[in-house]
Amino acid sequence: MVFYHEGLARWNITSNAIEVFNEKQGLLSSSIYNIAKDDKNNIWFGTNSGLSVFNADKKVFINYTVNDGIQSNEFNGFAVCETPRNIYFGGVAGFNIISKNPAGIFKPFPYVAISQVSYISGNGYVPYQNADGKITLKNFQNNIIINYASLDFSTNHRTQYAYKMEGIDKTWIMNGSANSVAYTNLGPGNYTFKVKAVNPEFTGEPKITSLPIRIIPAWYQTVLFKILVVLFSAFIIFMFIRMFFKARLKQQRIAYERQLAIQNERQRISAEIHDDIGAGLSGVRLLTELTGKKIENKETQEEVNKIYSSITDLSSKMREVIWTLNSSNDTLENLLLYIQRQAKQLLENSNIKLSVSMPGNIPAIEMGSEKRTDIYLSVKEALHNALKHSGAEKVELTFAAENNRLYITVRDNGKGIQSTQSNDGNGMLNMKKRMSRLGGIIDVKNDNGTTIQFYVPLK
Amino acid sequence: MDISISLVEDNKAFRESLVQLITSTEGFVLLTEYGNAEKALQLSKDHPDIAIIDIELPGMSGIDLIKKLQAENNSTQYLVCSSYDDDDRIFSALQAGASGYITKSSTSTQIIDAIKELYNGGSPMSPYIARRVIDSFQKKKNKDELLLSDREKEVLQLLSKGLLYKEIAEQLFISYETVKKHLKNIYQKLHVQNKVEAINKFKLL
Repeated sequence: MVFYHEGLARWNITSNAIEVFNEKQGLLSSSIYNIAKDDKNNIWFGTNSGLSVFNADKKVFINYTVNDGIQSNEFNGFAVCETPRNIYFGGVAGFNIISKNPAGIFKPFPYVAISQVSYISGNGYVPYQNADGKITLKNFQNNIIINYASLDFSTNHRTQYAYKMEGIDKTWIMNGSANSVAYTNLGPGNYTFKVKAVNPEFTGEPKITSLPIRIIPAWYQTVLFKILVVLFSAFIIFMFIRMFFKARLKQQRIAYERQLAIQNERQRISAEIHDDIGAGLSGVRLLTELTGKKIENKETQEEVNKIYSSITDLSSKMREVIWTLNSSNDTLENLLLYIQRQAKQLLENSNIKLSVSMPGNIPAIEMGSEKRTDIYLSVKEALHNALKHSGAEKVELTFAAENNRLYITVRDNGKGIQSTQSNDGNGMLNMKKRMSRLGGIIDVKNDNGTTIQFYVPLK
Repeated sequence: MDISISLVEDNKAFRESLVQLITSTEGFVLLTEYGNAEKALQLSKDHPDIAIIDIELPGMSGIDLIKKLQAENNSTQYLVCSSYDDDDRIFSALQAGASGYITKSSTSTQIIDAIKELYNGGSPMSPYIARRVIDSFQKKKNKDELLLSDREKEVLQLLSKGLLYKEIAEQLFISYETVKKHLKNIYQKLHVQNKVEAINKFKLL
């Protein structure tokens, strides 16, 4: 071991390695005046800044200054004297006696006691008073100071501490030799404050002192409250949604009721027309027919027949209107059967043979009066054309309802449609207009006669 | 042998025309005419061969009238008259005991034919009515109810599709007359069905 003003060098004889120690490694000062060894293999140094002891195993220095009671920080070179029991270091103000068998220098970790926990209240700190050893604070008492000290009075002012608040600090925090730590704005919850001494010269395991601290949540911070808030919000949202749907439902109901009122009104009109006027007209018609039969004079008979035709037309039109107005006819089945019946009537006094093909099972689909009328009048127009213009012998009327579509075909075996006639005539225009109004299609083909196909979407 | 006919019709103009028709047709005799069902309850005393009854009457309906008159059992056959022939009430009337129907838009010829056919044992039926009959029999699935025979079902099916009696006869390889006979039986089953229903209801009391 060699010393000089630059610090301390250590020469390991066996390995031939040299280590240098100075302030960086904890040596109080590199200017070393005295050196001696005690019985515990610690090396003592007198420097110009104080007394230093070095433990070769731990490579740790402990330093003493005037504050610790030595004669002065400055020692004198070569002012060393040894007796069997002590070492004497001389300095500028006197000398210090160092026991060769010092107790308690490199000693085990001391226990750190927590002396007080205070919280801010008003303008000052109030110590926490409670006998049971647990700290329970209210949520507004969450700015605290914890005071602690190691129970080792000899090195008290040089004990280095580290602390950690479980729940806040992720790692141990070095606090130097400070004896307190403050925490502000602690949230509600359970914490554990831990503190320990960390001086490197201590041996063994550090003794950790723990203190559980609990901050009681305010009523608005509790889990229960939060759950209630969530539930309440959910409830509010639910009520709003419900209100919205109810309003909408109400709207729908009003619209529906309005529709129903219209329908009922129609029904009423239809019934009124039909009862008296309809029956009366039928009577007149029948009478006219009977009268016509009786007349022998050809001319007069012709005229009466004209009257009869007019009444028949009138009667027929009125029945059509009644059929349209009567909402109990608002079904697909009713429409198809009606068309069939009217077709039969239209063609029964002609030379044309009518054959009708109806599906065995007609789906139960509702159909409003406008739609029914449009479809019926379109097919009627097609049949009328076949009757008046085709010169056909046979007419086939086919119905089919599938894939949510209605297919109606009117096919005759007459002379077909000339293109001049076809797309210009009022009848054709009307048919097209009606079909497009329904979102349907009309398809006219010539093959061995005329084939007119109607496609109407159902629903 | 003249066919005696009674009328129950509330619309004056139409009743007049029917009267005119009957009186001007050979072989027909007008027995009595009534303006409403209440007055017509005594119709059975008149014993007409055919009674033409309007479905739509003020007060008691034509259907109820037929039910009451039928119960008094006589040889009168009932022809029901309605404004249009897809009326559900026609079917009810048939169940109540009517055996045929005419519409107010029928021509004089059609009316005359219907009366004659009924008198001669026929039973006119339209595709619409055929459907209703099928539905009605399908609904009754009880053991002691009268069911339609397979042949009768076939006839009804074809009829509901719109085939004429002639065409049905062709398709089923039976005669025209046989078709008509099947229809007559169907009607009778309808009536009986109705009676059985009434009896069952009575049993439950």
